[in-house]
Order: sequence, then C-alpha cells, then structure tokens
Amino acid sequence: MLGWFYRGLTGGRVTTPYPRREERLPEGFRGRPVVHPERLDPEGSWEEYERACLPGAIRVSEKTLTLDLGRCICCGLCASVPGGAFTMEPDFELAVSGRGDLVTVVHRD
Amino acid sequence: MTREEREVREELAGRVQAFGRSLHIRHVDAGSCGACESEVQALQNPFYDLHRLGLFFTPSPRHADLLLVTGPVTRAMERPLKMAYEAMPDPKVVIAACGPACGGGIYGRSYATLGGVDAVLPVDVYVPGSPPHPLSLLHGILLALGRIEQKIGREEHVAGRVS
Repeated sequence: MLGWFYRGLTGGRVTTPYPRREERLPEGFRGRPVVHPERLDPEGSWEEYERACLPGAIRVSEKTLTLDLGRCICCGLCASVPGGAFTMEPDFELAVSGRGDLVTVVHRD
Repeated sequence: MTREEREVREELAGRVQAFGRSLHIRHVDAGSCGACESEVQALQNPFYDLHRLGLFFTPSPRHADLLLVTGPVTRAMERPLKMAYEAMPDPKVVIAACGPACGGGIYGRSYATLGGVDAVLPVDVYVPGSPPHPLSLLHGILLALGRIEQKIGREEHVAGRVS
C-alpha cells in the first residue's frame, strides 16, 4: 500500500496531454493505409492489391481503385505488395462525420 | 453536416464546457470481437484518463447523451440497439466506433450481420480502424462534441500523377 503511494508520488504525471497538445505515438504504431497514386501504373491490372486485402477494403474495377477505410482493418498487407503504391502512415485522428469521407478513389485516367 | 446536427453538437459541447455538467456515454456491444471493448476500456486508465475531459461511462441509456456502438450489428442485437437509442433523451449522438461498425469490416453484410450501424441508426461520427486506437476513439468523441476538427476527408486521384 505504502509502496504504491510512493510509486505514485515519484512517477509523476503519466496522462496524455492529447487534445491540447500533440501526442507522440509509440514506436511501431502501424496506422492507416495511404494510397500513392503516382506509383500506380495506369496500364496495370491492380489486381494484386485487391487480392492482398483480406476484408475487401480495396476494390478494383475497370476504371477505378477504391480504398474504403470503413472496411479496413489496418493489417498492413497492402503495404507489403511490391510497387509500394500503399504505405502505412502512423496517424490516429481518423474520425469523420460522414461515411463518404472514409473513401479514397483513384481513377485510371 | 445539416443545421440540426450542428445545433445538437453545439448544445452538447456547451453542456460539457459549462462547469459542473458532464457528458455521459453509453457503450453498446453489437456483436463486436472484443478488441474494441479493450480499447474503449483503455480510455478509462490513467494514461488516457477520459474523466479529465468531463466524459463518463454510464450503465443506463436513460442517463446517456452519447451512444458508442462497437461491432457490425448482429441480427440478434438489432432490436436491443434500437431500444437503447430510443431510451436515450434528446439530444443524442451516435458514434460507430470500429471498422465493423463503420461499414462491415471483416464481417461484411451477411445472414448474421447487418454490416454497419448506419443500417439501423443515424450515425453522426465514424471512427475507422479495427480496433481503433484509444486516441482515435477520443478524437471521435471530441469531434462529435465539436471540440476538435476533422482531419481526413474523401480523396479523388488520377493514377500515375502526383496530386
């Protein structure tokens, strides 16, 4: 009991200052996938990205590639596909007020 | 955001900012895998310390201002979720707090799940990530209160070009 009290006194403040100041994220925090459209070949099939995505957050049609964060589980498998069109950005401020704001679309031309 | 939604948020933000009044959150598990619950509970530990912002969890929807829903909404939880929403006093805000609650996630839409909270209730804030980081949840709650800005939005790009 006294040991806990002493530890609390010597440990200082541990609470995050988040809404007032930036919070430093832990090392190795994976974050969310981000598309780099300049690394996508306009003539390519893009099917490898759709195959790599387990929950079906990346959908490829004839003319577009769609990344839906509302279905993403942030596993990072799309970032391991050769070509590097997807990277994981350590970002946590992801809340949005509309479902459409979670979607990223890349057009072929 | 419509005018009504903005009014609701302003009223809720005023309630929290006014000294002595706090905001109460009702958390409903609508078929979640349990990872999101772990992150929601982490908000109450000394590191994230939700209570310093005047936010509290409540076991009753009748005392709640904010409904935090996790999970893809299984068919068994559809009616209890609606009952919890109807039991809450106005104004009320709904947060879909994980990938499955936003748009189905790994569960998707199937015979067992409805594929997202917006199939049942009007959702105000979506928090993606499966599970979302506790700070993502905190960002979502503060966004619902109008105390913080939205950081990401819909993006349209053309392949092969820098945007």
